[in-house]
Amino acid sequence: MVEATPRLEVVTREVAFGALVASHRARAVSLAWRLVGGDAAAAEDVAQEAFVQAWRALPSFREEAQLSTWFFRILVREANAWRRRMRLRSFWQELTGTEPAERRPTPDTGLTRRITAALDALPRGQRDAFVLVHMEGFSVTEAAAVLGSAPGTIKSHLHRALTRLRADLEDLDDAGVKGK
Amino acid sequence: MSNEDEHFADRLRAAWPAPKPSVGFDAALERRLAAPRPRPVWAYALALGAAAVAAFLLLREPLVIEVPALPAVASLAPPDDAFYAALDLEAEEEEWLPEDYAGLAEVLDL
Repeated sequence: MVEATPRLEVVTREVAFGALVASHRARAVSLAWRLVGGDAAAAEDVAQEAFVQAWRALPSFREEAQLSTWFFRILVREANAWRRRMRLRSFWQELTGTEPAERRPTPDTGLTRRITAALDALPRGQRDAFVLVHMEGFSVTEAAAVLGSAPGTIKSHLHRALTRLRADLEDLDDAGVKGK
Repeated sequence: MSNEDEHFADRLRAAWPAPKPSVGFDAALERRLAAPRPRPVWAYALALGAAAVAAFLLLREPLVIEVPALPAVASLAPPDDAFYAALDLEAEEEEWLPEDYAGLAEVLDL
């Protein structure tokens, strides 16, 4: 009877984690893919690392937020860490004059690259908010909880991001994509 | 958000569809979950720092502390008269007078 409680906790933890992976796997990869700029292998790596970190930190999860919100917070943090590592790596390669590693070719050479570049040019807060709300369908409240910001801040980020992206991608009109 | 903004976001989403997880995603995740937890970076930093301090202590010039040489015990000869003369330690014998004895007797009530 003494061991029943911890064992039950472990079982509950495994069940909760299994459900989290099953229900959020696709969205996690999709969100990571957009946050890392369209690199499929990096997106899977980031999503898996976020799941691993969530599994390890699950005993300390205090249920102050929803499990999914908590997980996506980890995922966004992991994606931003990946971007920082890539920036450091490219900086080092420029410094040493070594050739940068070839990025995997994306299916669409023109448009994807332009969208990625436009999103890359945004400040981190604006990019994260835009991807969460307009690309992945999070509500402003959910995005605020994931990013740890006030909803008003998220709305401000969204407005600025949209203004800038519309200026950068103005040819993305109703008739399709010009210059593709 | 205006309708134009919404349409723009819709078009952007449609033009940039995200991939689904690959077939091997679950297997790779299980492998990562089963792998032992990597040692934290601070542990490596601590070990590296300890090794650097140990190497510094071992490889630097040995520390030499000069201690003045002491004479060997066997070489010490007993002091001679000249030694005491130099120190002026020769005791002069005091002469006791009869009144000293009388005073002492009074004190001791003899």
